[in-house]
Amino acid sequence: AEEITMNAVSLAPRQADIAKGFAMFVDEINAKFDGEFQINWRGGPEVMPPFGQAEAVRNGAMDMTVTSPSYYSGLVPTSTTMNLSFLRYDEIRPTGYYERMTELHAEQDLVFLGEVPATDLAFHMFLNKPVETLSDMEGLRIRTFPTLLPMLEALGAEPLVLPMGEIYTAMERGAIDGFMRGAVGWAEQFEGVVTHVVYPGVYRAGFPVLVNKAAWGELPEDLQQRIVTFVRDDLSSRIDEIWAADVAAGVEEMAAAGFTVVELSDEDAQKLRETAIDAAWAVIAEEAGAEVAAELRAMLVP
Amino acid sequence: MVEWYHVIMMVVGPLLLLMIMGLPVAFSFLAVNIVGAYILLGGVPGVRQVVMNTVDSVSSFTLVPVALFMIMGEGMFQSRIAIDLMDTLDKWFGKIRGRLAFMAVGGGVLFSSLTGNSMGAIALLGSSLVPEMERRGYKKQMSLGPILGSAGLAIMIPPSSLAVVLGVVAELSIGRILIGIIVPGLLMAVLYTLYILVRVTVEPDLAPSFEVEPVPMSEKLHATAVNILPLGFVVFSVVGVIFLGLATPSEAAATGAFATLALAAIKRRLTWNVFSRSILGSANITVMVLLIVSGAVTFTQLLAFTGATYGMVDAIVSMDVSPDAIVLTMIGSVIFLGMFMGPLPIMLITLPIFIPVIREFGFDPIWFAAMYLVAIETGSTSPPLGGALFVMKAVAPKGTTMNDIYRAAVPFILCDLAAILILFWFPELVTVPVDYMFR
Amino acid sequence: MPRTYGRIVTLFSRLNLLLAVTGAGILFFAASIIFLEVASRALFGTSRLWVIEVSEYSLLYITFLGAPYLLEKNMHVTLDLVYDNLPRGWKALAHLFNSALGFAVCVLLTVVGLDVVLDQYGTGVRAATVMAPPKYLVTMALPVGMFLMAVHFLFQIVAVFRQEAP
Ligand code: NA
Ligand code: NA
Repeated sequence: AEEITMNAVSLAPRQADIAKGFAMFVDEINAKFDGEFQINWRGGPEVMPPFGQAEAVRNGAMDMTVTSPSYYSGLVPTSTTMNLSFLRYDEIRPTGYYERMTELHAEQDLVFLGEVPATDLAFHMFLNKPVETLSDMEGLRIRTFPTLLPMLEALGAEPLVLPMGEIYTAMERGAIDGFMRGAVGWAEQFEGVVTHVVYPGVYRAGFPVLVNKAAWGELPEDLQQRIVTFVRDDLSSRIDEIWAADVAAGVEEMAAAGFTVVELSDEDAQKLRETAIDAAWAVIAEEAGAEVAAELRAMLVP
Repeated sequence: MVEWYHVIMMVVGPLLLLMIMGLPVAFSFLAVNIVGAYILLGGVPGVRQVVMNTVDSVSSFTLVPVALFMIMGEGMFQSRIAIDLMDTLDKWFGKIRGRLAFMAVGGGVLFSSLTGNSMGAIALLGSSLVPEMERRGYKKQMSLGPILGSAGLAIMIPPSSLAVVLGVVAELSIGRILIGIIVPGLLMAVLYTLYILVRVTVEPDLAPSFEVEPVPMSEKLHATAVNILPLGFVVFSVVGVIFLGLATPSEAAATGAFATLALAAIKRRLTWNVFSRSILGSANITVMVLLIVSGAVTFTQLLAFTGATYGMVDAIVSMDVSPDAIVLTMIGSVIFLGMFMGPLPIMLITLPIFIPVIREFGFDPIWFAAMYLVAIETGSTSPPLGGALFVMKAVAPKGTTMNDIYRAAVPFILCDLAAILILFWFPELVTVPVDYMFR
Repeated sequence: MPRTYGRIVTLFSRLNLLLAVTGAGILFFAASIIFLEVASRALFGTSRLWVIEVSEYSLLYITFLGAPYLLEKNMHVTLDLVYDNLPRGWKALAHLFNSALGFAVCVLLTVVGLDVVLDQYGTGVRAATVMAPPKYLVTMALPVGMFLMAVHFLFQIVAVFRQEAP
């Protein structure tokens, strides 16, 4: 049979830190299925607007995307559940979560191939003022995005939305007190405006790989099966292990940039995790239905 | 074999042809986008994607300041605040040839410390100053040029949204970049001033001077108190609210717009007519600019999809020449791409490849970032399709041709190139202030 | 018949103006909510999550509601270098070509835009944002503006054949 090539885009540009997982994904698939199936990675947001990538795949303008679960929750309301857990890929895999997500995506005519996991990249709170306890976060103005919104509201913070390009000046001048993101690879940029980072982080990072239904249908069934098996039972599990070094480097980078680590007490840390899980899953139940929310939560939150 | 430059020619060529034929710029982009997407993105789904990308690119908060600064500019023009300002300056400096051109550069520097968005700066300075400069006999080269040149300083002097984005994409300290670009920004302003000085001396026709009747000092002081000092309130409403942490740079454009309307009201000039003309006028220009932006963003995405831009970048970093030559070629390529692409995609495509090379050569990445920003700024005022030129076309008085704008822009582009070369030879201009602030 | 045509042209012209004024109203509204957001944060420490998003959608509506009026008034930015210097006959030809191409582009984007809107309506897809509005409400601005511009380009073509332009 002839080799089939798919065009792909990603949520981040090729050389970005978080695109490392997808680079490994593309390289390994292209090596393993050489002669049968190839991915042509066209680029990231410079090629297609990040919030529209899932729709582009559904629509057929793009064959494949590795995107953020939160970028297409308007299309597949359960998509953000991939973040709402503290489990590693290998722990989630046996629960049947990925098979269930495949069904849920199929309802919207999307093929869910699998996950490019990054469990170690939890979301931390970065502040320009000191805090000691969870209750100090009440009333703080925190820049956020939809996935983290329920948790911040439950903590009594004052969440707000700002474009990425405004965060620095807003932090510097005190228009906001903080923001949330992963603790990897950018501390140097915010040297001088971030003073504190809160540990532990919450949730897990993971990037769904979506494929256009018609494009997927062109692959022979046996090849489809081999790709899915390779991704879910071999590749993803190994990708989840590549981030530890980045996390360690991130810790050093934050220290060099002068961030003070705020380690919450065991009690507060426990409360933070519970709030994060309960608040976010309540919203999933509201938007996707209580039944499917309960089913998925049982897989992701033991 | 299809090389990257063939692809760029195949994509940019038809676009230019349509524009030259007189099809409005926005529709030329749309036409090329439709055909390009149909070919590249698999037929009809590609055209659907054009619809979605166009919608996505206009609904962006980073474009909000363009619209809001327009209200400021139109408000100042319609309520004659801008005219009062120039009258007062004439009372003081009437005999100085080119004073309004110098004022435009000064305004650019001042305004650049208010905003981080050069499209907004052109919208404001162009709509408030150009009509009155022309009425006072300034030739287009001396009215449009200084504004095209100096409005770009918005991204060179903090706050600067593009400098922040550069820091994020290149993974460099944003604080260091913001300090590092101040001297280059001022250097550009000095070069523009020198150029104007030389030009109006050689060619006095370009900027008339008045034989001003001697104005009594009391009248000068009174005019200053009435016409210039209240502008401090408007300036504060933009830069003060950012400094005090009350607003982000984009939000500050809204406080500036309301402060301008308030000032007009205090001066008892905010009639319904003035108000409605300001809002309608700014809405019109917002439409012109954003429709072009929406077409240009999608166009750039298609160009990135072809891989041609990546091909160019890869070709540059693998050239077999001295590191110095590679650095200059990188900077030149940024200017080249700026002639038909917006700043953000240029950054996303080039920086992740350029910065590691800069580090490998042992150059200071902050120094490179400063030159890079000047190059981005230069590209945005470079013919044929630099974004700033279209904004100027949208705000300039009727009868201003694109040719006028190109001709006005060229000398200031040469000043920018000179600035890049000076920074290239004297990295200390960037590194010394940064080292001083971050010891 | 010519009178009816003239009335239709006038009708569309009024509609374009009405939408442009609406767009200007939206611009002032967007400026106001951002200003009030700054004021309320400074005075009361409260902030509204929807302000940025609403001002983003406002830009989209300002653009596509205002574009037909600007087209009618011939105010869209044009690269006039060559066109203005063409001899008369060539100019008329270029004008006809541009009107026809503009018509084709706008008709295509009206049809495909409408198709996207209907699809988004059918699937109920929402924006992945805090407000999460149905996407069809956002996208709708585009086919509306494109339709009115298509109509205007059509009038332009008719005008060429009636030797009224350029
Ligand atoms: Na300039
Ligand atoms: Na600035």
